[in-house]
Amino acid sequence: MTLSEELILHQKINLPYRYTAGTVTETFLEGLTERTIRGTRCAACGHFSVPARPFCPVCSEHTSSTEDVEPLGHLESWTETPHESGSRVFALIRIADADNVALHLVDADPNTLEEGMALEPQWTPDPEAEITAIRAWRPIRET
Amino acid sequence: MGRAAAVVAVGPTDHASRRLDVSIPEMVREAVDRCLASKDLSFGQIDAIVIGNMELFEGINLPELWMATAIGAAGKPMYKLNNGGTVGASVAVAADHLVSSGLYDTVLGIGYEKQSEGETQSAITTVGDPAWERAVMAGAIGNFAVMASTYVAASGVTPEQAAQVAVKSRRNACRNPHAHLCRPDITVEQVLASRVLAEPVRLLDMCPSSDGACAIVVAAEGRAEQVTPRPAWFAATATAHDTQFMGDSPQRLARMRSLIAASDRVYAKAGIRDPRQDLDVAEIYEPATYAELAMYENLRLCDWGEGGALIDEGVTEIDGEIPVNPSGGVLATNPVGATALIRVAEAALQVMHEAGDHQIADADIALATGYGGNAWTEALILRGGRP
Ligand SMILES: [Zn+2]
Repeated sequence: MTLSEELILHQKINLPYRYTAGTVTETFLEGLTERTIRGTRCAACGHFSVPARPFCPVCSEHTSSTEDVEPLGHLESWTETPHESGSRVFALIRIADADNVALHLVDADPNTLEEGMALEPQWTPDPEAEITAIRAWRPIRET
Repeated sequence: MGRAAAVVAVGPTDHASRRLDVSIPEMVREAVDRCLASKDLSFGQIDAIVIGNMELFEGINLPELWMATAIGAAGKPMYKLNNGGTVGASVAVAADHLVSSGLYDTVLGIGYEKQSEGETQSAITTVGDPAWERAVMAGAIGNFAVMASTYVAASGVTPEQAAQVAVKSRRNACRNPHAHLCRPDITVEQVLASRVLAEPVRLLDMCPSSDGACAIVVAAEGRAEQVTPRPAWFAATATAHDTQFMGDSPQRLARMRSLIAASDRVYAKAGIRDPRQDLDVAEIYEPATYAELAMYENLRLCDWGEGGALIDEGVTEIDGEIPVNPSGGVLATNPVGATALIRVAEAALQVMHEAGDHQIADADIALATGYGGNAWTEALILRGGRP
């Protein structure tokens, strides 16, 4: 026996959450409001992470102080996802001289992208303390 | 080391995109009934239950609470796990630990998911780092495609080689009456003509979304041989974690750190030096064609960069040197909370010599893996015959 579609219960529950950024991430997010990107260097092993994060991703030590970095990215890897409102490019970007990379969006024709290409952040007009303050990254045009 | 434990019974459900004929408890009961009936077992012989799924996929909190009477758990110890794609394999590992430790003689393990009843892609986005990745991630497929691009660049695998994995899976699935996607006539050309979900991943490169469940019974040495003449003994199990933050391991598909750690550990424990030669069959958790090719390399079935050559040469076909996913694998059947347990169940059936039309002749030693977005791996070696 197969039940009819009418007997499927449709429910929608509104379930909002809050997330406390914590000390290091708060410093990082506040930097974004001033169009500044910050990283953290591990005192124990020297690993440099951008974005700034409270624990070293390699050796798990606490990190405490953040460093401002050059707002320059290099394209590591990317994918194009078709979407009704036009395709979007999701990419792994190495920011400044970080030892890790970060997932973000790239605003460019995917056919023009190359591995290692230099990128710059495209800030929203009035950046807020969230990662979407950087709308996307775009290739730096040679002048 | 505790005492030896073995899988002695296996029960899969039927699978479909939407199982409109059953509720979640009814679907789970289907797996449990088939599992117990296969070896003439009853609820009275079960000492404890381990159950797992992805709660956010169906939006039902603490599902074990309203599942208890449906699976004979009322009044018994029941342990719930909820750890992503790996959860089914974690259920099997936990059942092994509970039995081999001496706590219980006979444990029922269950994994399930009714993916049609929730919003999987939205739910998966909640695993992203809230401060950075959640706002810029593209669900499971987009994130996976970023990793696949990196693997393609590192290994040089081609879309044609990935498509051959899709063909192998859906053809093998036709031998498995419980698989979701059986396509006997599928061709490489059809896979290459399917629509792009996110470069380089096409629709037929990706696992489906299934409704289904799986159950196993794990029993202690002494008890196991009474239940079935050829139990599937746990020779080795290992669990390894890694970071969820994508950018910490940009080579995450080309070099799968948690898979390497877990598989190296079970190989060492089970005395496997050359996996390609020493294993009779592998049932691995491959979320997509590109992942299966990468896993060949990470599991040391071939050298780095040789994953594509392995499928070209037919080494992993059902009649090949080391058959991978004779059941059809995840590419054919994917009820997430059950998916990794199905890998363990299939590995068990292989070494129990009960795998029917997808049986690998004389299989004695099998590998099973569970995959949680690269951030978590379970690896298990099951052996037939003596513990
Ligand atoms: Zn460190």
